Amino acid sequence: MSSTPSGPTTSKADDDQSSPSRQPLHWGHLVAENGGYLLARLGAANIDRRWIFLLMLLAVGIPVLTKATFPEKPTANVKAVFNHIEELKPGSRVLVSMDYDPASAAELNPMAVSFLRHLASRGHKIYLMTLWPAASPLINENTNEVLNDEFAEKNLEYGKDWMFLGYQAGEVVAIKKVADNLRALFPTDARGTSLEKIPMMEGIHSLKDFDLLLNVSAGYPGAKEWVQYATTTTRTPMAVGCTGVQGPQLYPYIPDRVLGILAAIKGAAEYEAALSEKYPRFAEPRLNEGLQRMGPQLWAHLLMICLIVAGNILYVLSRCFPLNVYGVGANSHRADVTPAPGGPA
Amino acid sequence: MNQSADMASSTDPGVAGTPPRDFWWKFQISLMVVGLCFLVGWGVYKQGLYGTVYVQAQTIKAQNNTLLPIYTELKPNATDEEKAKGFISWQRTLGVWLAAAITLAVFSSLFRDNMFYKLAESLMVGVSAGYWFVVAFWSSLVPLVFAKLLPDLAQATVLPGLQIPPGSWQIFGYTAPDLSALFPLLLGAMLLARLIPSFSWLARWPLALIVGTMAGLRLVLIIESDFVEQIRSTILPLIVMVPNSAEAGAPLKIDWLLSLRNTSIIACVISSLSYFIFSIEHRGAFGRLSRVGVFVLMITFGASFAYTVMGRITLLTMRLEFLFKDWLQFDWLL
Repeated sequence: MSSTPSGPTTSKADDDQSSPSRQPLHWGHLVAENGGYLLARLGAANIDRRWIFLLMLLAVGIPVLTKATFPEKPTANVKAVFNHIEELKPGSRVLVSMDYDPASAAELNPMAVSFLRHLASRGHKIYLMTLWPAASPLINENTNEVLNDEFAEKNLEYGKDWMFLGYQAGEVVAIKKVADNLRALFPTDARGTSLEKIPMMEGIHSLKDFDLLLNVSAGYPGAKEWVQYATTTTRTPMAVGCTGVQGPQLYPYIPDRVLGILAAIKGAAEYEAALSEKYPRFAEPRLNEGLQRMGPQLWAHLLMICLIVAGNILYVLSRCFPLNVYGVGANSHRADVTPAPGGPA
Repeated sequence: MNQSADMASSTDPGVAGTPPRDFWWKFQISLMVVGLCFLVGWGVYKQGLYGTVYVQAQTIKAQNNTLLPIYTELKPNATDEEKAKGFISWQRTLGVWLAAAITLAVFSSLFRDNMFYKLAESLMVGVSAGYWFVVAFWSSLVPLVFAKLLPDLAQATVLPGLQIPPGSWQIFGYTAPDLSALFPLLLGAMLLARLIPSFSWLARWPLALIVGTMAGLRLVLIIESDFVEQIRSTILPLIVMVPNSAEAGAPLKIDWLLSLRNTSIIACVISSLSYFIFSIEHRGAFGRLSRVGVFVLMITFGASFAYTVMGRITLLTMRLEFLFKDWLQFDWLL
């Protein structure tokens, strides 16, 4: 490390070998002084937070525009859920509670769509419901897109192959009611049809009558409450797709109470990868929103790591070389140090 | 972050190395001009057709044999032929433009607080409250109260699919109401009595019922799921022996990875719990153990925070996808 001609380390002491105040310059001083000088010149100590917002916008926006994606490999958690659905006999009854809303759709909608695709591919009977009022339009959109359009050749029939029970208020009390007596909670389905008139509701009275519970959960009420108020007593196998925030709270339930967890967009992308591997018709990029959203994740995380590292380096430099208001090193008051260009006369 | 460079408070002489104080004004105006030029230019390139939503009309037969029109939305990447069969839905197009404007208004708060952000925030709160009320009305009050108290009227008006049990009691030719629905209705009305100071005491009864019910439910169910089950899940073998091969009667060997996993789970649980034992002074060996527990907790919080960050980036990704695909309709993304 050598001093730059314009830097603060060009000192009179360097020229005056006989000066009694001359101290041998340690490399640490050089780094600190030059680093501090650069820090001041860049304005890093006072960097406006909006530059960071702009960098983050670019880190996320450019991969979206370039459609940058990366391969994903399913982890054990995701495989456990995928394999369980694969191993269920075709025609098994699966209750899917989609407890999320548009605010968490970015993370959870890819999971919900993947679950629907997988269940429909395996020929399971799908019973949809939600405890979140804003989920109904999302469920209608997903069922239209997946069950009606993508599986048009299978001609899946409402009431025989799939149905939507609708939204129900009551939060944990509603969950308890589903576990004990589902028909008392839902007198009709979402379309106003009595459950007595729906063929696939025959023999369904409570959660115990389902072969699997899939929960797409964004918060309260969600996966944790389903475990606490329903599956602990009914012992119905349960798998969860949840937001990243919920992930750490739910991991302790694996594997006794929950088969596996798809946490955050990473879990969704892994499930899409597993589904595409088994069913190549779903490998089309436009059908894999989760995988598409992992590209921006990579660049945004790299940016954050760089910022954290840079912030720590600058912090250490600022401790070694405190700045004054003129943006040059604290040692600039020393007579033997030439002030930085642009500094005080 | 240092706020000295914020243009709202840029009356100070400035700090060396930071942009000049009028920099952000110029930056803001330049950005707006560039943005407007881009929107106009893109509109010219797309012949004015971006942010539009095409629909196709279909007719379906209702249960009472009346024909009803339904409109299916076409994807932005629909072919010209498909679009020619449909037409532009101005309501839905307005929705896309409104959503884009609100998204940009929310993003604008990153620059600084402004009236557009406040408007978007107020809209969000108001629309959410209205939406929740309507959904709760139609999904709870109508099927669980109205349909039980006036089943014939509910069937004739809002719930045509409602099944009235064949053996139901009849009064003057009408199905008798299920009066048990009055009880929750009454309790709900009593909750609203809080709004009238002289009758606010009435709200204590339904509140007491809610608190009592929840306490009872949680006492039994959560103790089992979050306490007994968790303790059971922590009772793990420290040394896991697995068969050497798939053959029956094969000799056992140690699964080091699983053994390490089990040992670390038990060590983390014990050390974390030790931190919360305050009746013993955290000194010596116990102090070191609780110190390890603090690290375990910090790692857990770090994992939670990292997951949260991941979620927030996904939200940003989704909004940018909406702006690029649904609003601007960039051809290479469709």
